[in-house]
Amino acid sequence: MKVSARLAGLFENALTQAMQVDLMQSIARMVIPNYDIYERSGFPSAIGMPRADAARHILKDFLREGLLLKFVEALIQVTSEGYMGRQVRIALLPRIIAEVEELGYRYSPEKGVFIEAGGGARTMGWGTLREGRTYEFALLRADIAGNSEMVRRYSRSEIAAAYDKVRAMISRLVEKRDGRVWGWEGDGCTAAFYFADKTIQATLCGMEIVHELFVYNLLGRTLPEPVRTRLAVHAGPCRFQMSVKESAGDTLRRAEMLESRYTPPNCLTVSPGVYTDLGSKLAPLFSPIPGPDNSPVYCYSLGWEKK
Amino acid sequence: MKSVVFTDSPRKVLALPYFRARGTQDLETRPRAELKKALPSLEMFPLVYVDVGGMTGAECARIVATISASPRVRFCILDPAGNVSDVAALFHAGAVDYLGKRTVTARPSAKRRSALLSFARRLGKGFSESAPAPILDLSAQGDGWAEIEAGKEHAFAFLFIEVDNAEELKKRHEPENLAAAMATFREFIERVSSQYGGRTWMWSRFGGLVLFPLHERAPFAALCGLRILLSSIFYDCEQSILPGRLSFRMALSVGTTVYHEADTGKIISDAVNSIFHLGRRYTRPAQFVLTSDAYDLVPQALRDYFLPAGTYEGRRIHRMLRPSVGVRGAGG
Repeated sequence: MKVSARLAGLFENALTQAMQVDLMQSIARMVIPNYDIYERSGFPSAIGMPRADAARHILKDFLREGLLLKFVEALIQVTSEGYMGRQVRIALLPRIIAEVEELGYRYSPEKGVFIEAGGGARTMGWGTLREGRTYEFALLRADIAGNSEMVRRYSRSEIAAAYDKVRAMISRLVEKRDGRVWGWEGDGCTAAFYFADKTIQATLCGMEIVHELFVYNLLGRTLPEPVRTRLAVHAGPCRFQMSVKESAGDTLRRAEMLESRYTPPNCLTVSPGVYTDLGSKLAPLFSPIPGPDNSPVYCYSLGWEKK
Repeated sequence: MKSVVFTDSPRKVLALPYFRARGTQDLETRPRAELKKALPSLEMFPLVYVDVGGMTGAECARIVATISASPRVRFCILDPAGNVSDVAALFHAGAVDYLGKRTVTARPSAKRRSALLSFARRLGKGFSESAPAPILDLSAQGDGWAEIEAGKEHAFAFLFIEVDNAEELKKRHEPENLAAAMATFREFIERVSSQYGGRTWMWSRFGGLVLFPLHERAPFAALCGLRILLSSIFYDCEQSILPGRLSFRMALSVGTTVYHEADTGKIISDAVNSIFHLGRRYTRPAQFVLTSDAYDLVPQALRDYFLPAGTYEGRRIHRMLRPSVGVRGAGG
């Protein structure tokens, strides 16, 4: 992230005017545990460090580590919730937020983080996740069932036209719920959900894809036969990489296995861990079906009353 | 889907007051010489107009014989000069409309368009997106509101929606909580309807009426009903503040009424009365029913999801199958 001289100046002034050095350090530790400004700056701890110097060092450290936005998020948190029972006021904070938004981010109060604003490019990590770190995700796997047979039956252009529509539909529904499609590998994709209610959002997204595909197959399809998908949701820790191929891990592997081995076409399955998060309105819509190791997974599909 | 006019004078035809209001968005023109070649695909057009201006009686008879050989094509004879001597013979041959010298000089009224829809249906040629074109352009959701003028009569599709167990809900919930819950329900209906060109027109505490301006390419009222059914799961899980699922019923019909933006409570309209009767007296909880006129607007592919459901006030009624979720092995 490139920071303008104006944002840097505002950041230093905001900290200098609003808080003592110990509070600056405490807020820094909300982002980097054990952050020690004296150790990092080489300033003798026995002598009180001037506020302006501390602010400058924090700016330099957090810029170098790519964590300046996280620090600003921590500032927003302490101004709204207080710190250890005391109120914190930072007069220049609204101007800092405005400057960050100029860089193409928007602050989401519900999520407590800056994420990419709608108009700009969308990255796999919402502009807020750091590569190489492990986060808790809900992963939605989608795959077009019977792809090999369809590819044999129809021309490349017919397949491309049909799949493009399905891909666009899935991407739209994922992003509508603040998820990110991490990548398409041929006829399948992995989408990630990270923020609050991530398992619910991933599950609702899967259900919406089931419904949307029903309408598409009924009224909008371009091939003589319907396009069918298998969908699965699993949640757990996953190391975040900008390339989904490098993001290998148990959670990703389990999501893929759930989709490919245990999910019937036109259905969404969720793992037992996700099912327990669904709550009293969603859970009854899922039925248990056999899963790995004799344990159930839970399946959702759209059916119709028999004529 | 546009209607098509076979004519050798396209400019003159498009300048006729009858067509001018619709413009080229809803209408395409083709040379008369292409009619024979185009016959196999004509069934998919809402209406096929044949301009017989400048033809002799024999030529006119030949072209009518050609088009009437395809019994499902909805054809109208356009005769701006008023040369056809036996208009009834056109209807005997299967025409659904005749636009003579006087008719073409004015915009079609809502009543006329509605009568045309009913007549075509009686001939077994109800408007639909029929088999040769299974693909419905879902992006072409015309809204048609630009043509609607307050104080004038227009043709609409009327979608009635009402919560089923209102009395039970009143007993179970505080009035303020119930009012807040019903506000979210209205918001949900308005959000989905607006995507299909529908507008909430009348709304009481537990439901109301959504209007869709009616034109030949208007299958969207029925699609909107389908969407509301499918989206209600998401409404229950994400928006509704009531525990459990909210049950509601829907009824769809077609008719005309004078349109007013305010004071809708004072409107006297057979069509409005009729849809309220259908929704409140005939439709059972959680059902979505359609009159046969509205059923004619349902895209062919969606008709498999409807069942005949008796008659009401002399009209045949169709009922949509209920979606059942969470049961394995169905889908599309």
